[in-house]
Amino acid sequence: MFRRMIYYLFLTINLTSLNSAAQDSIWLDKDKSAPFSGYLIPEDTVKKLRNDSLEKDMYKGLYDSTTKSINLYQQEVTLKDNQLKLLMDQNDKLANQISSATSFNMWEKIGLFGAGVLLTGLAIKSAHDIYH
Amino acid sequence: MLDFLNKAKNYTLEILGVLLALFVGLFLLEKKKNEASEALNENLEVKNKVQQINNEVTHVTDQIAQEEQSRSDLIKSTQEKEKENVSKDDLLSFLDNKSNQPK
Repeated sequence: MFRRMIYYLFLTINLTSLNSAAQDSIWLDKDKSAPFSGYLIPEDTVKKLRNDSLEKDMYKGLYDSTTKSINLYQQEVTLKDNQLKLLMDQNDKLANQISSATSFNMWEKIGLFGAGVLLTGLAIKSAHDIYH
Repeated sequence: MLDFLNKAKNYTLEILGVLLALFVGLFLLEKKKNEASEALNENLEVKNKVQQINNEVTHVTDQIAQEEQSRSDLIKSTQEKEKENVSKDDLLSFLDNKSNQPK
């Protein structure tokens, strides 16, 4: 079974000097001697490793994207809250303005009462002048 | 004309009174009109602000949709990459990248 397998060789390197000691992975044909010490792993395992790595990158991307979406949703909620507050304030203001438009304040009442008294007085005086 | 003015002179007080009452009425009406005009302007400002917020919300909603689409694309492309036949060189390159990746 192992004869049918194609192997990849790669060297695990000292973690403390990862970059300086890094050696390239090489293709090793069957029955050939290895140029350096290291681990030999089957091709299928490398493919699985690659797929795992792709999935890891995908999950990282999904995490980042979801975090961004959450922030956007929060931004949307804040905007909607501001809009709601603005509309409620405006509604209150308009209600107050309608209320004041349909009624008179104290000075307006005094003005209208004064004008009424004046007109009534003048009407009485005019009537008095006409009949006398 | 002179006769009319002489007669009108006898009613000066009455005429002034009526004019004063009219003035008060007109003043109050003008005041109400100004208040209504201010309210309309203010309402227009609020309407513009609401529209501006709506535009911002639309922009944010678009961004959210884009993010959802990008997630969907990412999953799809990863699945396709996993299924595709990988060449020997690609696998070697993958191993090299991984071994040279900073910790």
